[in-house]
Amino acid sequence: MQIQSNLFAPSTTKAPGVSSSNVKRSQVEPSHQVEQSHKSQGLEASQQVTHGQADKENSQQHALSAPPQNPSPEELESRLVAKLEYEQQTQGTEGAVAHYLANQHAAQREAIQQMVGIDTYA
Amino acid sequence: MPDPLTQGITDKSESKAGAPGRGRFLIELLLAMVITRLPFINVPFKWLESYFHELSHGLATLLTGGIVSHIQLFPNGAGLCFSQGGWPVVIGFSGYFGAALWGYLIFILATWPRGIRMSFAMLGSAVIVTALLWGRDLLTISILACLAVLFLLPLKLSRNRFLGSGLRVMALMIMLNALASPTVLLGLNGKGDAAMLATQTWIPGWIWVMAWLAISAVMIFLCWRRVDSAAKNSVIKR
Repeated sequence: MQIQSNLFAPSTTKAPGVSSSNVKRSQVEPSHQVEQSHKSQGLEASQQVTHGQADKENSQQHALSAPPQNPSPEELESRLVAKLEYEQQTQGTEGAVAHYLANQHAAQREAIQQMVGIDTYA
Repeated sequence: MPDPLTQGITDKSESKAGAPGRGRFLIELLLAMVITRLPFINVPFKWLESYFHELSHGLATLLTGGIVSHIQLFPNGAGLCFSQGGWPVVIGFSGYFGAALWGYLIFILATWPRGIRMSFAMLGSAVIVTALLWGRDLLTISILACLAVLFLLPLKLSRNRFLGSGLRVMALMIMLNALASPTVLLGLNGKGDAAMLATQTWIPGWIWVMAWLAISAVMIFLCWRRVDSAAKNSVIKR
């Protein structure tokens, strides 16, 4: 199933921060890959396809084994600003939601208060 | 056999005769004014006005379709009526108005010599019924018990003349307290019946206070009118 998805959408499975040029092609044995591919999927895959598949698997392995890249300060700052903007919007909407909830059932609440509430006359 | 028409006129003149003379009325009014200002002695009479005030709130609640939960009376003369439903404007207005009206009605009863004992008994019974129906806390029940004694104890007296004078003084004290009490509301911002009526009707609270003062003054004046007309009738008869 992994191979099929790679066949139809090879560009979407790239690991983030890892380019295909970093993969060592010498580690891949094309014939073995082709045989394996034929056996497992029953497909008549070309050598290019097998190469592409090999690139993909290697890039995934490399991404798992390589240490995570540190984001740049600009990127961090942009993320922080985005988060702050998001929270500010949340606070603003919280007030609106509170107002809405307070007035949502105002008529029913008043009717219930008149029904069960006690008036006091001094 | 007496003529029914003559009998009716005779009864009416007798009831008029039960009204005090002008001088006596002024003495009773002066006595009521003094008692309402005497410390400690005036306390039960403050309760009397407070009781009729809350009773009026309660009756207005019932008349406008509401339900009375209970009433509370406090030793300092304050009171509360707890109710559900009804027409708030009528209920709020009825407190001071009702106290003045009750005072006038009691004064009228006090000018009816034949019914003076029955009047005392009825008022005492009304207090007991109120305690049973609307009294919930011990303090309120104690105050109502004192008021019941105040109405029922004079029945031990043998002479109706003292009973009449006593009841008239009580009635005048109720009216005088009803005249003085609303003025307290002028110093209370956002509290009391006047503030409640102001929020309900958008008519300023001081106008309501003035209305209550005017009504209480009119009630006392009506008492004077009754005494005065009785005195004139007795002069014409002579």
